[in-house]
Amino acid sequence: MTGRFGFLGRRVLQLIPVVVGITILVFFLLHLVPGDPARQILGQHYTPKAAAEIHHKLGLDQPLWTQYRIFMDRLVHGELGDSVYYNQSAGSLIAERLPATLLLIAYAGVLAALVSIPMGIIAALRRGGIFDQATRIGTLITFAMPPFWFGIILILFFALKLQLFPVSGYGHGFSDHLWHLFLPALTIALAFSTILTRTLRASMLSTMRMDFVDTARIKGISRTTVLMRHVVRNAIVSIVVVFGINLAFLVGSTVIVESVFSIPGLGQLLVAAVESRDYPVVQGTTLVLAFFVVLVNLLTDVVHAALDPRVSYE
Amino acid sequence: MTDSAAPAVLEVEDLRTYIATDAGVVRAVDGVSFTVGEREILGLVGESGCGKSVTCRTIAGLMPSPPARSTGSVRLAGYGERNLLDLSTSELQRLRGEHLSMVFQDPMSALNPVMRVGAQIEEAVAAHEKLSGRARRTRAIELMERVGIPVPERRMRDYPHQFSGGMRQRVLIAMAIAGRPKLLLADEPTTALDVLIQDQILSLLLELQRDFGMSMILVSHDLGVIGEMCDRVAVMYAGEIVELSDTATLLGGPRHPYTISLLRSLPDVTSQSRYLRSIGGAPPALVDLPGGCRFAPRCPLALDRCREWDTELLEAGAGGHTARCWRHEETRREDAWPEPSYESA
Ligand SMILES: Nc1ncnc2c1ncn2[C@@H]1O[C@H](COP(=O)(O)OP(=O)(O)OP(=O)(O)O)[C@@H](O)[C@H]1O
Ligand SMILES: [Mg+2]
Repeated sequence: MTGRFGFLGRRVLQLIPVVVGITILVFFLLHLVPGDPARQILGQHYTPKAAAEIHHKLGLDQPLWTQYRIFMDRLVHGELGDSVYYNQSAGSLIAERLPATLLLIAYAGVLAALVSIPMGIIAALRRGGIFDQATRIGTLITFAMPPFWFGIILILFFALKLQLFPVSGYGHGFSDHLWHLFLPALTIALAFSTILTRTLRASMLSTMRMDFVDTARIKGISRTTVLMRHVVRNAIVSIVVVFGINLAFLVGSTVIVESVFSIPGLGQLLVAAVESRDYPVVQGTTLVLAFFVVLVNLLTDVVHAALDPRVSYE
Repeated sequence: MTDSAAPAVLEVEDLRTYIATDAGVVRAVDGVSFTVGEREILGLVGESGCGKSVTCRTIAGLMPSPPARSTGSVRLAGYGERNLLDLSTSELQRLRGEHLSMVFQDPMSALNPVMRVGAQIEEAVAAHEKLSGRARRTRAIELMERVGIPVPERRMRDYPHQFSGGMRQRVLIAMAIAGRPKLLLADEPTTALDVLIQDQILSLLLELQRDFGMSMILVSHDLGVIGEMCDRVAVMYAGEIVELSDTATLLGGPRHPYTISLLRSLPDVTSQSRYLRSIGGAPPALVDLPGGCRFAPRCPLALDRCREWDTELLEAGAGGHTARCWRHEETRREDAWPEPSYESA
């Protein structure tokens, strides 16, 4: 067990430079904007006085190093600055929007797993069969189609034609959220599950060829036990990594899907903040999303280590 | 074929396993017949790719079908008159572990990497017996002790990667004997291990075979091992048995040119290595077999007739000694062999 804790400790230590790197990148977001951000923010309302006010508010009148120090100082106190646009701190704006996005991603992840684990197993077992072919074609289609297109198709069919699900929005209360988020989560899950299904199928097929599967079969245990306890159990290990990487990647698609389905999440906030040049909010949102990706990666490693005893000793 | 004094535990009759591949149909096992008597160890030798593993795996019902297709008959004492090749999946399941079991070549890959060793042994223990968790554990510990794994209570909780190669092979053997099978198929159980460990594992197998009264098929490249362990030996070449006899006769008075070449290619008995050195040329591809004797292209004694001869195992001596060579009378005469050119090729 010490091996595993050691492994975890190392992973967390490795994250420190990543986190610092993220803060630097996010900090410089403001400085990457060509020209004067105040000019961008004010647009046609530009006056030198207003610009100076904005400079002061954003801390741009300070030397770069001081700016970063102030930024970091605020950050460790959980402050992300005030929204230029709303009369609210960026932190509280993000806190309001975060749950919807997290729920959407988790929901999509669960749906994707529910769809792709059985599909991957069946496709591997009935290799070359109708089902296998169908998932192969399905993969091609979902790979070729952008997620928002899928979202629109789902809205047209399930929301408008069958009226089973709402067209947009988030609802009130958990079960209502689940109902509202079903189509958006499904949109993301479909794109996600094709990768998962194919990876699981390939992983199943290569696991089935391994010697230990023969060892298990020769014991005289049932075929289902061989399949679940030996083949699937090993195939899942490699899926966890793919799942984690792609889950982190899903953050990107939530930005689009939240817009298509009008979900008050971080993605939507980010798009709005970029449009209105609300730099503190852009910085804060980016930071939170980046941390989310880092966290998912860490969790992936933890789950991987828990599932595969060899990991901790590598 | 009743060439053994003891009643047969396993009877294999005209076994053929053909495997469909992209390159064509591989005739991995092509008309193999033999028996294994009670408490007998039959050795199976031959060059890489001659079909030894496929023979064992077919008997155990482990060949994937498709692409593999098997014909012929495999009968096991105590399993009625049923041909094992006709068994359904659930019948095979009942057969395995209790009636026959198998130990594989590579202990590194033959254990489930993500499952504790104890759980893997317990799984074998519980395959044919309803036992409480505690009884299962006790049995697993007994088995581990039996195969010489020190501190089994502690080692049970370890994962395979925490075991050495030799210890893993002991774990595999423990699982194989858990159901007290009548027949053990050992497919090169020591090839992947270093020499000292090899001897320990072989002694263990021999000891278990005697104590449990098991019959065994031992596949090996190593004629030294065969000589020490086996009662009878079958020599395979390109999917066929080319010579079959008791061990002393086979090693002392071989009749088939292939067996003779194998023995001659052995380095001096006093040198450390007991492994086969290759004979000139390569065995034929099993998709595209020559007519007549399959060894003829490499045989120093081959005549035109050998390439046309419809091969069969001919009686070559007492006690069921058979050889697939029509010149088996002459092969022992030194003057029948050309000058020792087999050195160079
Ligand atoms: N699953 C399979 N698919 C296709 N060909 C196979 C398969 N299994 C075995 N073969 C082929 O069958 C032939 C016999 O293989 P086999 O494994 O029985 O050889 P072997 O005598 O055990 O050799 P080795 O000493 O190397 O273990 C080989 O030509 C091999 O390539
Ligand atoms: Mg083999």
